[in-house]
Amino acid sequence: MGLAKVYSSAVLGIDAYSVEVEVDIAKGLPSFNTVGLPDVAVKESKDRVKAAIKNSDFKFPTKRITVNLAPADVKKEGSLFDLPIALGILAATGQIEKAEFKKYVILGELSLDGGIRSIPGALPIALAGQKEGREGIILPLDNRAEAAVVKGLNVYPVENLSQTVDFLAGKTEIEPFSLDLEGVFERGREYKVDFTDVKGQEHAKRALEVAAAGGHNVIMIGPPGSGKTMLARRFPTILPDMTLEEALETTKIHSIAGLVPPQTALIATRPFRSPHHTASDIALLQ
Amino acid sequence: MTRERQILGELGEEAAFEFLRKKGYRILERNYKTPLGEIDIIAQDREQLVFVEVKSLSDTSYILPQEMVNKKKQEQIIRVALSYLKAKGLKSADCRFDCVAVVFSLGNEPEIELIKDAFQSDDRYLY
Repeated sequence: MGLAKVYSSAVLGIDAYSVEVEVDIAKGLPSFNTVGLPDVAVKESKDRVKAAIKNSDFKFPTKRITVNLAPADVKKEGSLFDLPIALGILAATGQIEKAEFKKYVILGELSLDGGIRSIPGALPIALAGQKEGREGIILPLDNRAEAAVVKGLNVYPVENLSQTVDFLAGKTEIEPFSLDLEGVFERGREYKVDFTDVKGQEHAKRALEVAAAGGHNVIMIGPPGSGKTMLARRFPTILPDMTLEEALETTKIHSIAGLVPPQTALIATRPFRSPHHTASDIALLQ
Repeated sequence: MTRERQILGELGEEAAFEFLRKKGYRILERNYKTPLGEIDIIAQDREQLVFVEVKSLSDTSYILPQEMVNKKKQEQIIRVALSYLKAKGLKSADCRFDCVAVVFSLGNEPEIELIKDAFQSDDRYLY
């Protein structure tokens, strides 16, 4: 019947690697199999894909469908393969004509009505896409700002499956999303708190200033309510501003953890973490 | 199985058979029996080969007939379908599994519902 190849990506550690989503449709007992070390979220994608295809007024084939996620020896996690799998099925059954999948990295989670939901890890995936020399990235609307940070890659935000199909078939145009990186970076550097807020505490402030200037560690000891956390929270504001590379690295980690707020492109403030004192070593690392 | 249920099943299969014929299905086999189990109707719907499971119940029961085609039953049908395909040398045929639910009520015509592509094979049963 047909074979289609769609290019997507997955996250390993804090970097992304390219994943080829191959869809083969053959005659035989109707079935849907996913191979290439998929985890549960990837396996479950078949039900989302099926409903999304039907609810977007396309035909889901009653054939033997095999989806291969290459490289087959690396574990694939997450729901971001929903959109590439759905597009692969549509292309293999001839419902999208002459789509140039090679040009794009495609990712997104599908909802049952064919809408596209945001996914974690858009930034590292966009960076990997640019390195591979792809022309553009097709991704959920809510992830557009994150990916737009990457230079030299067109960001095509999509809202639903039909829109994506029309775009790939060349029936509609989507304006690539771009943003003023310098401006975002400047604005992103502002902290909500400031070290100048602190009244008194002269000894503690002196110690923190010395630590900030010399790059030392500090341990603060004191009774509850004496202002340890308050001081620690304001400590990043006297550290040097983040460079763009540092901001990218920080945003990457936030992106993978799914902690980048929507519409935010870059996290350019130094992170403040306050783990609970009973947290285990493992919990700290995660 | 009680005698009543057996009669109900036979009546249901007869009703389903007529129903499918009117729908344009070309019936190839009825009650295809193998040691693995039985398929009620095997038919040709346009270019697709269709394996049909017929379930009949009376309207006094608390569940729908289609609810009785559970995972176990589906797997049994899939196994028989595979053996049919192998026996007929139809390995690359285009096929589908349908389910016909027949609900009998006293004094009325039976209510027939056709569920096309009711279920699919999973990775355990492929050739």
